[in-house]
Amino acid sequence: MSSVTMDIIANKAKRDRWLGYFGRLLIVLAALAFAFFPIIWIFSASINETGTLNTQRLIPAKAGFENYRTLLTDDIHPFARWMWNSIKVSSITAALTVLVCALGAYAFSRFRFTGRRNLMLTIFLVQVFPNSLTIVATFLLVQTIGRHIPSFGLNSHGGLILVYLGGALGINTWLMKGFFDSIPRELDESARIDGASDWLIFWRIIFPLVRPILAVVGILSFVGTYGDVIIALTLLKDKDVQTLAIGLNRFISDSFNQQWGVFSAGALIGAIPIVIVILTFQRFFVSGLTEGAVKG
Amino acid sequence: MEVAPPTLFPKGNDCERSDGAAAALSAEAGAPEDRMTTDSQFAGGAAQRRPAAIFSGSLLTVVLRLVALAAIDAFTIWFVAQLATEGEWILAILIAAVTLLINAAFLIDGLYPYRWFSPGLALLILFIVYPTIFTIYVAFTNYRDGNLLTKPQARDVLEDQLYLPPDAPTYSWTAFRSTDDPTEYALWLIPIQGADRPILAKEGETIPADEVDLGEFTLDEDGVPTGLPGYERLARGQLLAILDSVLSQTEFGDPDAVIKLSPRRPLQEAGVFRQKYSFPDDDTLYDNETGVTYKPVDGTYTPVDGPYVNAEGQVTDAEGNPLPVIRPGYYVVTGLDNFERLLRNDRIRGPFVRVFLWTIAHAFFTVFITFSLGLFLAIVLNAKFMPGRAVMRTALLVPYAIPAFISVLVWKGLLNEQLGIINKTIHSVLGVSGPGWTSSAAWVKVGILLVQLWLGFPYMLLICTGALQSIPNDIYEAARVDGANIFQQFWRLTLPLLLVAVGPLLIASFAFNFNNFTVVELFNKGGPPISPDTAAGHSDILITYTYDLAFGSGRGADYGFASTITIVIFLMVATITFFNFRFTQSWEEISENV
Repeated sequence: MSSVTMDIIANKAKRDRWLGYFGRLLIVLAALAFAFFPIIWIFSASINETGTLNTQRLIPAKAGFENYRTLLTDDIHPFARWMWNSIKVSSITAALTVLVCALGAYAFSRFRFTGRRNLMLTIFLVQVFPNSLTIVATFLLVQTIGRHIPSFGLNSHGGLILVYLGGALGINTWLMKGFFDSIPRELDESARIDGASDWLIFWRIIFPLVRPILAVVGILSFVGTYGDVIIALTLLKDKDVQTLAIGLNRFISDSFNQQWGVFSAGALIGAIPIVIVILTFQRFFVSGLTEGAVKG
Repeated sequence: MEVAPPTLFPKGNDCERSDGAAAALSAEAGAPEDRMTTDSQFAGGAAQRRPAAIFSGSLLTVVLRLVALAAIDAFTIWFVAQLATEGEWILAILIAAVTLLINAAFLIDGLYPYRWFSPGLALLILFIVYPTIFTIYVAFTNYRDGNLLTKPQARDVLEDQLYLPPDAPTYSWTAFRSTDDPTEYALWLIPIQGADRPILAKEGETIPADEVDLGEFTLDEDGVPTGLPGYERLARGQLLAILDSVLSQTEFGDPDAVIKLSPRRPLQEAGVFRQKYSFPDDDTLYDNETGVTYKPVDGTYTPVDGPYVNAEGQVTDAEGNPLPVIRPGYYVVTGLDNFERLLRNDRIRGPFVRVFLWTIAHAFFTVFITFSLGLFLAIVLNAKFMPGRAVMRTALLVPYAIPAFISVLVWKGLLNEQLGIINKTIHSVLGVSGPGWTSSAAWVKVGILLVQLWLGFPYMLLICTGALQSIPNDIYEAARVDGANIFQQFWRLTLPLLLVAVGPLLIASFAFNFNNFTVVELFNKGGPPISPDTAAGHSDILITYTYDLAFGSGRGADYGFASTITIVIFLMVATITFFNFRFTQSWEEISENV
């Protein structure tokens, strides 16, 4: 190939690049507009004091924080309560998930015993079917439990948390087990020679070393629980025990038009913690999602 | 006992190799059941280092462990006994089995590792395995409104029902309310018919009037005390407010001869009630009031014999009207009935097929459009000369970071047919009214896909960016030199290479959206309805349809049929998962990584 042709190719590439630059910028700006249009729009609605869907303008005629005040003081829609319920249930679920999965992962990683392989494969297969599929049976189960132990029955956070825990264990045990495997065994062995029991080794040596994976599982579990609709919707019927995902829906079913401003304020406040968590820990979510439990 | 062959750990990090070595070593040592043995042997084989036995550890630990185990056992025995009397057999057996496993893990040396799993396994069995088994069982029963109880539960409810026989002793009554507990009442009863002396009937207790200590109070001219120690006499005005809601519902007196207000003349009289239904044998119910005999048909007590039978052989009341069945009934296995309804009944099959097809279409198009947009943006943003592309990528992630339940509700507002900004803009710009995002069978689907596009493209952008960056640049140079244009490069190089990397994630995304309850339910509750005959709506997917069948208001619960649909979902999910494993060979990888 002659140097002339090379020049032509190089020039063409350069031209493409410069033509492409503005084109690309336009495309990205359009994508950003699509992504942010609903967010800007509800932000505008949340500071619009007229507060209805019908009267909304992009630049509110009368701006202020009236909707936020209503949101936090309204008795019919106890937003603060829902938010608290969501944070409470999600935190407890995340903490217990981390603890229970770490116990299982430690045993899978460190012990060799009868049925180990089958148990691991069974747990993997079981979690293919999320427990939202068996929502009818889960509802009936929690109803039955609640007849005898009301604090773990319908309308209770205890029952809800147990159901979430059951659903979270499979995949997270796998995720953790992979990480546990990467902690050198020499550490356990030297501790064992010094007379440490299994529990001591787990609690004092392994647990501090696997903090990164505990954080990942905790965050994934928190975000997943916070965003659950189907289980909370089925198990929680009373306004005061409902989580945010169910409570916010009440604004819509009750009187959408009138409540639009207050709803928007609630939507923003409800979204902000999760958005911060996900953008901060973006890396975890990507690797958690792409590598999954399999690679470890 | 698992003698782990070294081939189980053929690759991986140092740790796994040491597993293999340890397993091999322990196999040689003749004590292969767990690696701990090997460790102990290396450590000098001190007996107390062997994990195990309930008696390992300090005295305090042992005592605490035994107490905890005893508490769990005691709780299980109580709970299982309760469940058994209710007829919840599957659950009772499973809970007993789980507790046995926990006991075994703590008491048998060889099962030591299971101690560590016991909380996790117990939760998994109770909240994943049991619901799955129970779903399959319920799919073969008539568990629905009218038959919501187990047989013992239905019998309990029916045995509690009372009636006032015409010849029963009756009284005129005066109500008293406890001053300690304002929800507790008592009746002072003066005989009208069939009884010889006045009595005081508290809740659960009958006392002859002459044995009652009146304290400072006296009888008025009707023979009713002006008050009772610990009770205040209620005036007529106070009574009316609580007559229907409280007094008529309350059972007074000895449980053997319950006294209640007469349903016909509640203000004037109370009487001694009797049990309405009795069970001469396990499968016969006898109505003591009407003399009619009932037998269960598919768990519903149906009249079979009585004092009045018409020409067609129906059991009737005195006026000749056929008698209804008795509710509540209990649920029984009805075999393939639910499946037959699904396949044979046109009113059910038609809507079901629609829901099924839309479930697949919804998941497919969601993946297709989000992947297309995500990939397109990833390529656009992949040019090195784009300034600030990292910031832009993060900004484009925001829709993915917002919890879906919030985004869907926001979009529901934006797409509101009359008042939403989108339709108002369409109206003011084009002068026509916008599409029926929630009322039109076609547009509701477009609306859902639009919301899905917004929710899902950032994720696809994320994974495509990663995959694009792992494609080496030289192959594009080679292609350019060979004269391939940009489209050829995309279709022949980028897309095939990308699909290998993200294919499994696309299938996982398909499986997730196959059951994406949040988006479909929150957007429009599966509506608009297909027809008044069915619970299914135009935008329903299988999981929201299931939810409507079980919990939707207005049609009554049909857990049996809902479970049948759930089995269809199971089969679909299993197929997708199987396909995913085959496609990616990830099953082999999983098996090896164990």
